[in-house]
Amino acid sequence: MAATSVEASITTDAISIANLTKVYERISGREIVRTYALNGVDLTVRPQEFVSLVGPSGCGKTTVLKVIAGLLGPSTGRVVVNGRPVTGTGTDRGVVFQQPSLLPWRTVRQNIIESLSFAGIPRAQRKPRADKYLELVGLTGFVDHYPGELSGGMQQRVGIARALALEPQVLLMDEPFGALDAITRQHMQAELMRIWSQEKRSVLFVTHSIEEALLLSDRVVVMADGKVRADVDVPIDRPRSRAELINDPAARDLRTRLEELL
Amino acid sequence: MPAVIERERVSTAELLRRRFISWERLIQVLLLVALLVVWEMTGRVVGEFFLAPPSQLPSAFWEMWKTGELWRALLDSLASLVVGFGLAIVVGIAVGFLMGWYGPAGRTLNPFVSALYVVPAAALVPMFIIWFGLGFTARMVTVFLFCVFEILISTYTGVRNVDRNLVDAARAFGASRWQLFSRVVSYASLPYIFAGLRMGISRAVKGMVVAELLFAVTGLGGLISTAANYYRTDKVFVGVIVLSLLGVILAAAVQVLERRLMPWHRGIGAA
Repeated sequence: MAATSVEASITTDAISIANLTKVYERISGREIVRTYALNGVDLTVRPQEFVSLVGPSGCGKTTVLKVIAGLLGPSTGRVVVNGRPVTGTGTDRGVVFQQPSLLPWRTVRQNIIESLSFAGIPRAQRKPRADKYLELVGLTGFVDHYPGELSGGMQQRVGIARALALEPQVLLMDEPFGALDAITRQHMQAELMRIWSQEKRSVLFVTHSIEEALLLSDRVVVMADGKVRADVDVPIDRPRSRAELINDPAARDLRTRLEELL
Repeated sequence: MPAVIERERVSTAELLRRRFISWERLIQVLLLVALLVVWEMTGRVVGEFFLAPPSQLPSAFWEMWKTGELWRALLDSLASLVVGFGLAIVVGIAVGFLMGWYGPAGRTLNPFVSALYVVPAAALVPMFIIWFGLGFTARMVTVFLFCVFEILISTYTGVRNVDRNLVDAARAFGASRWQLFSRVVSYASLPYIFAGLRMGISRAVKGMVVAELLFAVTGLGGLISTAANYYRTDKVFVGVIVLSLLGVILAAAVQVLERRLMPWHRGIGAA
């Protein structure tokens, strides 16, 4: 990719990554072994765009997300979010993790308030925001419960509400429904679409499910061996249904193409 | 939404019944009765000179209580125990946190802790006599050394085993290092710290008795050894029972504190 296109995209893109590598070194016997978790990744996410990052496990998709979140430093390359180079974690990005990762000693509402206090949100705004987003994910009746008293799906909703409560421009979601059963997962996908259509944000959504990617995203980026292998638009009208993905010939073709890429 | 939550007020009688009556409780009582019966019969057969039967213990207890020797011994013991254990809590948790939180400190101090941990405290007793004499300080130091490493190592392990996901989640929201420590890591290590305190308290009681036997003959340990010297096996048993009751009460106190500080942390199968 030419340098000029990167420069030009900085002002417009929500996320812009150029030539990102992440190398892990370890000593084995008399050799230094370098593992390239990411080997030159280029990726952009436009404002309000929903992009899925798919690939087999170990392909580096979670690593990309963690670098964008600022939880991991890149070995080389540039990550720019909303025109600002990423140097660490920041409140312009909300992260939803594979595991709900809630503090077990805090209630649902306190968990969100605590995270907002980490983020430096003024005290007076924390509780109203927590309640607003807990309502959005349908947990109003459970604000005073401890995470241990909730089901996995409900805990994951709290994780989503926590990220939304930051009101970030960019939402980074790392296989948020991966640990859920199929029924809960379908329900959560529908909920996510509802929430996203209400409050459009740029979303980078990591998943290993092609079906999930097709259902949710404007664009699907396929990763393999630490590189982007393909970048495919999903020109299917919203709202989408599972049945459509199976019956619509265009959707079926797209699905077959993506499956061949993996 | 799957969960239905029902709240129902219970009567005091129902509460007591649920708390105190169960199969476990019944078997506990039966075991205790069986033990007392066997002990009583053996005592009567071999004679009180060798083994005082439990039926003689109440009068021995009353005699020791009236003369004041029992509660004086108890207070004496408690003083060194409380001060030694208290110091061990402060030092153990502080050093454990330091070692777990600052990687370099942990890696540097780890071999020293391991080395000190394996030294039997009893082997150092001659040195304690030289350094601290035979009084309160020597006993307190013995209690401290008997239990400080349990608390320290548990705290250290706890900090190192904090769920990475929790730390990442807090970091992603921009938590500072101090917030990470005070709001996430310290709470997350509490289960380990309490495990250390529970082990530590019983070690502390043992340390206390060892000190009382080896230094000045005083406290409950002294009471027991003096009684044994006079072949008063009834008094010996009263002393031992008071000691183990002390251990049970202290362990329960740690558990109450644990429930207070960690209301979210209940065992598997809690209703």
